[in-house]
Amino acid sequence: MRRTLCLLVLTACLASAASAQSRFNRRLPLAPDGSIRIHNLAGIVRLHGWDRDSIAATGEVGRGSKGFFMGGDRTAVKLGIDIPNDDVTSADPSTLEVWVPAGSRVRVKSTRGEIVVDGVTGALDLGSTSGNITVTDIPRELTVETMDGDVQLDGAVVWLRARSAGGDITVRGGAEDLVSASVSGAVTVTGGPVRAARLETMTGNIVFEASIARGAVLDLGTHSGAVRVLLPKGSTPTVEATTVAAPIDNNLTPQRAQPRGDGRELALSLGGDARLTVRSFKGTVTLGWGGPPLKLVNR
Amino acid sequence: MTHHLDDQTLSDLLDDGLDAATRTGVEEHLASCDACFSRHQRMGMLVTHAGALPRTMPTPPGEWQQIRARLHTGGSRAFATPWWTRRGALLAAGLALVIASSAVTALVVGGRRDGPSQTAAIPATTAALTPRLAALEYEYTTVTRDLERQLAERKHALTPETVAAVERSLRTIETAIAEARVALARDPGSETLARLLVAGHDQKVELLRHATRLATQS
Repeated sequence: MRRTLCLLVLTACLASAASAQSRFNRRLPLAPDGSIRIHNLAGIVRLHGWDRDSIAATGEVGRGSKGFFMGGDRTAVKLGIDIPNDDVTSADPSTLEVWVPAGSRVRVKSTRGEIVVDGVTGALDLGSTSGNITVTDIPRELTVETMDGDVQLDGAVVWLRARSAGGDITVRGGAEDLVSASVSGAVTVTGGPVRAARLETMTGNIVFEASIARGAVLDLGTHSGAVRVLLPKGSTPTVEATTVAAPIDNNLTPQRAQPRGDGRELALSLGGDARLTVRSFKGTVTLGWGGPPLKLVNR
Repeated sequence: MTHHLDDQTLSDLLDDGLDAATRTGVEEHLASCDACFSRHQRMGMLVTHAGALPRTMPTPPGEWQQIRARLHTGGSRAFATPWWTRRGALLAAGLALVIASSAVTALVVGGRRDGPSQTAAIPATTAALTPRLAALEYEYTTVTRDLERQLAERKHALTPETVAAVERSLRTIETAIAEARVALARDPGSETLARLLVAGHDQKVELLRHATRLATQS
């Protein structure tokens, strides 16, 4: 009798442990340009691009979650971790690692979890409330949105839209068409070349230290963040900088910014057809030489 | 596999240009397909908003004299012409706003048609802005009010830290907008201030849209 009881208790413990955290490993065929939706509200998502016509997922379901789900056909797959009522407080973080065809279109949604992506060259739409988002390599299209998480992008992107309320956005690399906005976080662009960029903050700083393409159009605006633009030597943009109540420190040429009310304005042409516009209400604007080696890119 | 309706079919449905049999089939599809239903709603709202736009815009008094004067002055100053007073820019901004407004509202409202329209309160210093910028700001205020109402209804679906983050950011943006408006009242011709004001409203709309979408999806 005692032996049976022990066995029952042991079985119950094992079952409990299995339901608390269970590992999964699934694979499905998927077209090279297939669509994928990934849902992991509480926990990390690691996404990798690979050169196979299939999608593979592995990971561990956190305690309190209903489990892992995955389904679809060769053109579209949906997968993720199911949490009761989508209430992230009711479940422990789950880990989800996914390999997708490099050229696929992927949408990832998280709430508290981190999203880390590498090797995807298709289109990415990434959203997290408070988790950080990191992307490396060269997606064709990239949309990133966080409320409080930081965004880090390493590589060159054709089309990029990155937005955060309180997080910092850092882009290291080039972009054909870049819009990056944060309310109180910093927006930083380094590397290049950049062809079109609009960088906006309310109180966050803006740093642009990147090479610019021929004919580039750069538009930087802030309410009270400091703006620092360091261009590679040899860059020849037309520069227009205006502040309402802040100084402009121009180190590109000997020309001084002119007073305009409580602020300053500066207009100068360095001979090329690229255009740089800086607007600031009360954040200091600094313009100078520096940044990475100049890379000229033909339109 | 689901075959979604194409834009032409949805457009024809809105224009009442489908025969009875086709219309019945399309309506049956809309009843069972969330994606097409949502697209149909957005299209409908866009048509409604577009229909409300004025068919013509009167030329402001003295416009031709100003154009001639500018042509005669030859070299143009970099900051001479406020971008938002240009008709093309205003129309483009207005249209973009209508589209954004429709899309955002449709996204947030989902299947519901608009309820009674709310009149957005115009901030006290609007009278000091130029009429065109004031009109643009009025549009932003309308969209913002709509989103704020939607967010208030769904706020409970957000975590406390998300609500705190949204409120913190809204306060930051509203402070910036208020400062820009006060400065514009003193310097109504400033293109920089006009752009900063519009950028502030843009950020507010985007933040509210993001928060509302999070609340809707939660």
